Amino acid sequence: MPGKVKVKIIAGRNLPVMDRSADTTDAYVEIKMANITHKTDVCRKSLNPQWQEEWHRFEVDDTELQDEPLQIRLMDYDVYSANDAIGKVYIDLNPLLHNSIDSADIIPPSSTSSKVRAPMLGGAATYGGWFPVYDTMHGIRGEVQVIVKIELFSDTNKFRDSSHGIKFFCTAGVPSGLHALFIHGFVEELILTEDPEYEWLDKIRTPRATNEARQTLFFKLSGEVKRRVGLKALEMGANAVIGYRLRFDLEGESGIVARGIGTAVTLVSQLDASPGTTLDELPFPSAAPGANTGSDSADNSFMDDEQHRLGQSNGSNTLSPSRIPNNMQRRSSDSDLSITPKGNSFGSTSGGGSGNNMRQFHRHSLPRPILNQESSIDLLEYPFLTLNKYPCGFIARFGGMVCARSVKLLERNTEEPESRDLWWHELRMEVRSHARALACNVVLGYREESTINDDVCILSASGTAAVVNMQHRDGHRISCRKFKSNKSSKKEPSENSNVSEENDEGKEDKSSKILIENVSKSRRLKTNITDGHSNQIPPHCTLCHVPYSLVNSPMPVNAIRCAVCKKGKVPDVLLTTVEPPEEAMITGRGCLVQVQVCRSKKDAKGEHNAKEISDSLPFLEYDMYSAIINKLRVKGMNSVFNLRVSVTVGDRLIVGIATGTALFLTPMPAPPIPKLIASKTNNSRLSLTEVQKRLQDACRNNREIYGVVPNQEKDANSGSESEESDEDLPALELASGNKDACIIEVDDGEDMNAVNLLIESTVPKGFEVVNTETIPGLAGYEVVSSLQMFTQVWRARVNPCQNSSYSASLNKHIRRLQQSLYFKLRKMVPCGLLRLRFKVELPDADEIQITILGMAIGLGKIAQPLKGSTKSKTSRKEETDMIFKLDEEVATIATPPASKESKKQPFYLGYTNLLKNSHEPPTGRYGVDITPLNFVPGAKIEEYLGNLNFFFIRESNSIREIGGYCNFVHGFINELLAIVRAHITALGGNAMVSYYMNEFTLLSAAHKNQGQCLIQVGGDAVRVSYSGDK
Amino acid sequence: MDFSTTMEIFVSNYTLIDNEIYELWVEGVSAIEAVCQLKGKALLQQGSNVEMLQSEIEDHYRTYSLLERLLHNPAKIKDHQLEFQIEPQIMSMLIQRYYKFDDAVYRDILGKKLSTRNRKDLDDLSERTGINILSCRRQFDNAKRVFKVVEEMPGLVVKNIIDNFALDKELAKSYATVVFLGSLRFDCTKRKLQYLSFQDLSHCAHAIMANWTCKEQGPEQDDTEFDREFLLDLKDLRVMLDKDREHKHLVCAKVKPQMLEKVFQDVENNFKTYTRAILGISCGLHRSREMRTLFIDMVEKCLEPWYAAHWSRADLSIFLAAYTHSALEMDALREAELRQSWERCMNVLSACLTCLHKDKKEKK
Repeated sequence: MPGKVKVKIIAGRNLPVMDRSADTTDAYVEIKMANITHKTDVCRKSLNPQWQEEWHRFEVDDTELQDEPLQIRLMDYDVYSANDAIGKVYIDLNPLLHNSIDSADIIPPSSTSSKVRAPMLGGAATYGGWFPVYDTMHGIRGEVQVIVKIELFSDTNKFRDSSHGIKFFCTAGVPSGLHALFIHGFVEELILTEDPEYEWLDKIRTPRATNEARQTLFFKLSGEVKRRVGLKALEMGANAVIGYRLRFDLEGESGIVARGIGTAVTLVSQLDASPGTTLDELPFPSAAPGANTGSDSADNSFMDDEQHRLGQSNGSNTLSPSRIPNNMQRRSSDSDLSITPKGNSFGSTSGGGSGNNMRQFHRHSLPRPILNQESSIDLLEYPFLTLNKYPCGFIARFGGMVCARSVKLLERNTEEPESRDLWWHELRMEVRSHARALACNVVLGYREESTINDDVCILSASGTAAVVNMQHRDGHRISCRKFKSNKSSKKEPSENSNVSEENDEGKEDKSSKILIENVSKSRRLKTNITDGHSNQIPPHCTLCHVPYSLVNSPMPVNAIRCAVCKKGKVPDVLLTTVEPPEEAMITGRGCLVQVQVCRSKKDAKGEHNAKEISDSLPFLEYDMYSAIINKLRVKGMNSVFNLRVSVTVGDRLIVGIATGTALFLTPMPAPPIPKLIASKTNNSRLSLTEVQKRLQDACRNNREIYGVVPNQEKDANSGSESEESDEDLPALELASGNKDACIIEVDDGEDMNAVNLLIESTVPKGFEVVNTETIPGLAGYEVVSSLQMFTQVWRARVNPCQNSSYSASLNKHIRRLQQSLYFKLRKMVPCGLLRLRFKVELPDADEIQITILGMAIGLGKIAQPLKGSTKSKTSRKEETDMIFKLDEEVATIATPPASKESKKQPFYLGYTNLLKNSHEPPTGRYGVDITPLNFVPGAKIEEYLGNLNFFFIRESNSIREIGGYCNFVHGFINELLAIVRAHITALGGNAMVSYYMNEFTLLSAAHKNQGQCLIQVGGDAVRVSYSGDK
Repeated sequence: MDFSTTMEIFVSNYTLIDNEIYELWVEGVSAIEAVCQLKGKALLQQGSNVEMLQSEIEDHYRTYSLLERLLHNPAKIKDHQLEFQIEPQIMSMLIQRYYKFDDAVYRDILGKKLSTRNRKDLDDLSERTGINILSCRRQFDNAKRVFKVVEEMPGLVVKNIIDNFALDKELAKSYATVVFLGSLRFDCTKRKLQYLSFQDLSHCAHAIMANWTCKEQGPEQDDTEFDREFLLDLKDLRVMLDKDREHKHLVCAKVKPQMLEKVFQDVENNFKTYTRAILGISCGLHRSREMRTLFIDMVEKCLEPWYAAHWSRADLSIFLAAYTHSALEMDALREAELRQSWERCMNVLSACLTCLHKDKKEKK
C-alpha cells in the first residue's frame, strides 16, 4: 500500500534569535521523508515566520511509511556561513495509517466520533497542529505549525511487507469501548543495529549531529519493529496488538537492540460485538489469514461451555439490572453478568458502585474473549499474553509467578540479531516450561526486561502461569495438562526439552528460579466472609485454587482447603504479575508492598563479571522473595498482584526491587504473624523483645488499617482457638503442623536489620498507595478524577561504609522518597497513588538513581456507603480524620470550571485554605491529561488515536549555567511532556493513557560541565469526554 | 553504605504552582530562606520534615526559573505556550505577580536611564529600602524590558503594554509612567522632589499624557510624543502677562468667599508673582530642557511660595480653578485656539500642582 504524504508548513512562532547582530532569524524548513527532502522558502527577519505554502508531496513506499518518521527541520539561512539548525520535529506517521483504513470497525461507537474526525474523508486523515521545535542541545526552541495528510492506495497483496491497519496499544488490557473477539497470542520482534554514538564518524561530527542521528534511528527502529510485529499479527489473522511494549537495549559498542512484544488480538467495537452476533457465526482465524476453521470439535466444546454457563447465570441476571449501563448493548447469550461483581461486594473498583453511567467503564460488561481455539493455545510457540488486565471470567486459575533470568556476555562484532533472538527464545521456553510444570496453559502479564552493565547483560522474563477458561469453568479439578513437546515450533524443536540445561562455554551463565512461594503455612482463615460476599460469587474462589495436582507438584506446596467453598485447595501465598481480576474475592483493601535488596559485588570485567553476577543473582532473588513473603505477613495479606521484580547491575552493586500490591484473597488463609527467635549466643535479648513487640504492633496496625481481618478472626485471636471446629480440621492440622508459624531467626545485627526492614512506615491518612490500576477493595470512596501524573527522580552518590547494611540504607532512602512524595501531594488528599513504578539505575560505580512514576487520582466519597459494617466504620473514621487543608489553587487545577470566581481573589490564597475531604468528578479538563493508567479517571474514552513512542536525547555543555543537573533534567522532562502533549493535540486527542517512561539515562561529566540525558516515553493518544462536554 | 543526594526532582504533567512559594520566589527570597519562612506553616502532617519542605520548595523554584524565560514575553506565552500546562487564569496571575513592583524601586528609577550602570546602583537602593536585591533587579529588568519594547511603538502606550505584556490596566498604567517619564527624560531625581511618591508622579505623568501628547486617532498617534504644535502655541499665552490686573480682579472676586482672609490677602498681594510663575512655566514648555525640569520648576517657582504663605491644598485648588476659569472670561483669550491651549495647559498644571502639593504633615 504505497501512499502519498502531503505536508504543509504553515507558520512558526517564538523562534529563537539566530542572527545576533540583527536580533532576528531567517527561517526556512526542510521536510524529509525517507530519502526525499523538500525545502520551503526563506522567511526573512522574523521570529514568527509565515510560510503558507502549497502542499509538499511525497510518494512513499508502504514499508517506508511505517518505518520512516517524517522529519521537519527548521533552519536559519545564512548568506556567508553554513546555515544553522534551529531544531527538529519528528512525526510518526503510523497513527495516520490506521485511521484511514479500518476505522469503521475499530473506532468505538460514540455519537460524536464520526462527526469530529471523519477519518474516511477522501481516504486521508490529518495530523496537524503546533509542534515544539526541539533541539538536542538547546531544548525546545519555538514552535512550528504543520499539517500532514496521507492518501493510501488500497493494496491487499498477501505478500506485502507492511502491516498497515494493525492497530497498536500500549494499554495492557482490552481497550475500553472495544471487545477482543479473539486472542491470537504472543508476537515479538527484535532488531539489532549499530549505535551511531559508537561509530567512527562520531569522532569528527558534532554532538548535535550524533544525537540527531540517534534520535532518527530510534524513531526508525520503533517504526520498523512495529511494522514487523504487525506483520506477525497479520499472519495470525489479528487486527490489533495490545499490551505492546517497545524497549531499547543500549548495549554500547555492540549496538542497540530494539525489542517489541505484544499480544495479537482481533478487536471489534462493542457495538459490532453485541447484537445478533452469535459465536458460531464469527470467523475463527487460524494461522493462514482468510481461512476459516469454522467449526471443529474444539469449537463445539467451547459452545457447550458457553451454554453451560448461560444456564447457571440466568438467576443472577436479574439480580443487578441497575448495573447495566444503558449505553451498552449486550449479547443476549452473554453470561458475564453473573460474574460481574456487584459494587457492594468489592467496594468499588474504579467505576463500580456508583450509579453514574459516565463513570462506568464497562470493562466488565463485555463478552469474554476467546483464545483462538482450544487446541491452538498448546500449539502456540509461546503461550504468553502481555496483558495485565483481563476480562471477567477469562482467568480460571492462577498457578503463580514464573520467572527466568539469564546472564549473557555481549561481544563486539560477532553479534547478530539471531543470537539475541536465541537468547530470548531460551528464556521464553524456560518460562513456558515453568508454566507447564504448574499445569497451566498460559503465562499472563508476561514481560521481558534487560539490564546492562558494561558488557554483561541480564535478561529476565516473567509472568504469571495461569489456566484460562476454555472448557472448564466450574470444574474443581482441571486435568493436568501433560507437558508435551511443542509441535508447532518448527524452528528449534529440540529447544523445548533442554531448556534447563546449562549453557556453558564460560560465556553464558544462567540462573533461573521458579518463583512460587508456598512457604510454610499456618492457621486457616476459618470463617466465611463478611456480609454480602459469600453468597454472590462462590464460584470465584476457584480463581485461587491450585491448578496442579498436589501429588505431582514440582515443588513442596502447602495447600489447604479453600476457605470459601471448602472443597478446592488453595496455596497459602499467591504471587502474580497481573492486575487483580474483578471477580477475585477480596477482604479489606490492597496496599503497596515493596522490598529492596542491595548486594555489593566485585568490580570485575568480562567473564569474571558475568560469573560474579550470576553467582550473586540467586541469593539476591532469595532475599527478595523471602522478604516479600515476610512483609506480606506483617501486612496480614496473602497475595501480591502486579508484582514487578527488577534487577539492576552496576559496577559495584546489584540492586533488586520488587514492587507489588498486597491483597488479602478471601479464599486463602490468613498469614501468621512472624515470630522472632534468637540464637543462644545472642546477648541482645532486650532489643529482640523490643523488635518483636514493634513487629507485632505493626502487624496489628496493618491489619486494622487495611481491614484484612474479618471480625471472627479477630475474636479467634483474642479468645481461644476452640472455634475452629470445622469438619476438615484434621486436615488442617496436618497441613499446619509445627513448621507453620512463621519464624524468623535472628542471629546477629544483620538479621535484626532485615527484621526492621519488614516494618514499613505508615502511609499518611488520605492516601491509598498501590501499583495497580485500581485500588482493590477501596471502601467508601471511589476514583473520580485524575489529578497529576508525576515523575520523581532521585540521584545520589554512594559512599560505601562498613557498619550499615546495603539494603537497609537503600530502604531508608526509598522510604524517605515515598514520604517526600506524600508530602508533595499532601494538598490533594483524599487521593490515590496508582501505578507506581520504581526504577533503579546504577549509572556509575558510585552513583544510584531511582525514578518513580505514578499517577495521583482524586477520591470522592460514595454517597451511601455500600459496605458492611466494618468497612463503613473505617471509612467514616477516615473521613473525620481527614482534616487536611486543600489549597484553593489545587482545587482550581482539579476542577477548572469551578475556578472562575477564584481568579479574582487575592494572590495570597495559601491562607484561605479550604477544607475538602472529597473530590468531585470533573466536568471538563484543561489541556492534555497524561496518565500511566489505561483509563482516564472521571472521563470516558471516545476514541483511540494511535500509539506514540518517542525517544529523546538532550545534551548540554553548560550545565553550570543552566543551574546544575537538577535544572537540566527537570527542564528536559518538562519539555518532553510538552512535546508529547503537542503530538496528542495534533492527533485530535486530549489525553494519553498507558503512558510509560522506559529508558532514563543520565550521563554526567561534571568536571567538563557536560551532561547527556536519554528518555524513552510513549503511550496511547486518546480523545476522552467529560460529563460537562457537549 | 550511605547516600549523599545529588539530585532530587519532581515533575508533573500539570505544572504545580504554589502561591506562597511563588510569592517568595518573586520577592527574590532564596530557597533556603524560603524554607525557614514556611517551616512553621507547612509541617502540618506527621512524617514530614524540613528536608521534604526544602525539596518541595526547590522543585517549585526550578519550575519558576524555567518559567521565567516565558514570563519575559508574557503576551505570546499567555495563550499559546506549550511548555507548561497551566490554566490561562493561573498563568495570568503569574504574569501580574511577576510584573508587580515596589513603589520605592520604581520611584527611584523614574527619569533615569535604564542602563547597566544604573542597575549596579540598585545595591544602594536595596540597602536603603530593605527590598531584596534580586527583587530590585527583577523590577529594574522588567521596566527595562517593557521600555525597550514599547518605547518606539506608535499608538497608546497603555494599550501597547497590555497587548505586549498582558498586564492588568492598573499595572500597565504604572509601566506607562516609567516609559513616558523615562523616554522624555523628565527630571525626577532632584533632592527637592524626593518627597514625591511614585504614585504622585504617575498621576502627573498620566495627566500630561492625556493632554499634551499626540493622542488623536491616526497613524501619528503616540502618547509618548508631545504635541509640538500645541507646545509652541503656548508661547502665545504670554499675552496674559500684560493682562494680570484684569485677571487678578476676576480671580479675587471668585475666591474671596471661599478662602480664609489671610490666604486671600496673599492672593491679592502676590497675584502677579504667581501668575508670572505659572505663565513662565507654560510658555517655556516648547523647549525640551524646560519640559524636563517641569516638576522641579513647579516646586520651586510655584509651590514654595505657596508653602511659605501656608496655603492648604484646598486653597490651592480653589485658586487654580478660579485662575483657569477667569482667564477664559477675558478678552485676551477670545480666540478659540488660544482658549483651547489655555485649557489644555491649565488642566495639566492644575492637576500636577494639586498633586505635588503636600501639607506639612504629608510631606514628612
